[in-house]
Amino acid sequence: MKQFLIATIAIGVAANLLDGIIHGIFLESTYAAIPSMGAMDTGKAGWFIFGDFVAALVFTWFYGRVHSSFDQNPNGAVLYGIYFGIIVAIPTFMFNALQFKGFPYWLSWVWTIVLVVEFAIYGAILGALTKKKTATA
Amino acid sequence: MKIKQLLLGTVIIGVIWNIADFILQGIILKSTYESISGYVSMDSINPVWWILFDFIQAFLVTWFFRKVMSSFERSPQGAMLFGVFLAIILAVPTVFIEGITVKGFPMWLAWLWLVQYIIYGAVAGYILGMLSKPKIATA
Repeated sequence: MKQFLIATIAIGVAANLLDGIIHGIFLESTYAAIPSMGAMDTGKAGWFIFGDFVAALVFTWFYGRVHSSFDQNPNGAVLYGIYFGIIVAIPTFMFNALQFKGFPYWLSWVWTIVLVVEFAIYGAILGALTKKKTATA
Repeated sequence: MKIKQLLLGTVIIGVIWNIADFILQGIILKSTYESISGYVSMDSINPVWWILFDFIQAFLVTWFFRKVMSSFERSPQGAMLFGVFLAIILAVPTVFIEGITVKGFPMWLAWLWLVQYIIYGAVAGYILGMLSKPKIATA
C-alpha cells in the first residue's frame, strides 16, 4: 500500500511537471487558437493537476493488477507504460480531431506521441520503485 | 490467444460496439452532441470514421488482452474483469479532461461515457474470455 501511494504521488508529480511544460507552455498558443477549447483558459488548472494524480492512481493500480504479465524489471514496466499510452491515445485523439471545432489534425498525433512517451517515463518510475522494493526484500 | 482469435475478437467486438454506438451516440445522444458548442455537427463527420475507430479500438483491446491475459482468471468472468478494468483506464484520463476543456460539454456526459465504457469493456471482456477459454472438453 505504501509502495502504491509513493508511486502514485511520484508519477502524479512527474505528470504535472511534464504536462505543465508541454501543454501549459509549448502548446498554450495552439490551444488558444482552437475555438472549441476556450474552456482551457478559465482558471481550471486545479482540475488538470487533480486529473493527473487520478490518472497516476489508475496507471499504478492497473500495473499492480497486470505486472505479472510483464518482465519483472524496469524494462517490463516501461513496456507496460508504452502499451498503456497506446491504448489510451488511439483512436481517441484521432477522433478529437474530427469532433472538436478547429482542432488541427497534427495535434492529435502530437498528443499521441506525448502520451506514449509520458507513460513510458511513468513506467520507468514504476519500474525503479519496484526494483528498489525487490532489492530491499 | 492466436492470430485467428485476435482477428475474430476484433471483428465481433467491433461489430457489437458499432451497433451500440449507432444507437447510443448516433440516435440517443445526437441532440446532446449538437448542443455542445465546442463540437462540430455530427452530420459533418463521415460515419466511416466512427465505424473504423470502433474496429481500431476493438483490435487494440483484443491485442492488449493477449498481452495481459495471464494476470486474469482464464474464464469469461476473468476476462470480463479485465474489460471493466480496461474501461476504467481508458475512460478516466480522457473523458473528464474533455469535460473540462471542451466548450459547452456537460459533466453528466463524462459520467455517462464512463458507464458506457464500463459496459462496453465488460461485453468485450466476456467475448474475449469465451474466445480464449481453455478447450478442456476437446482435450
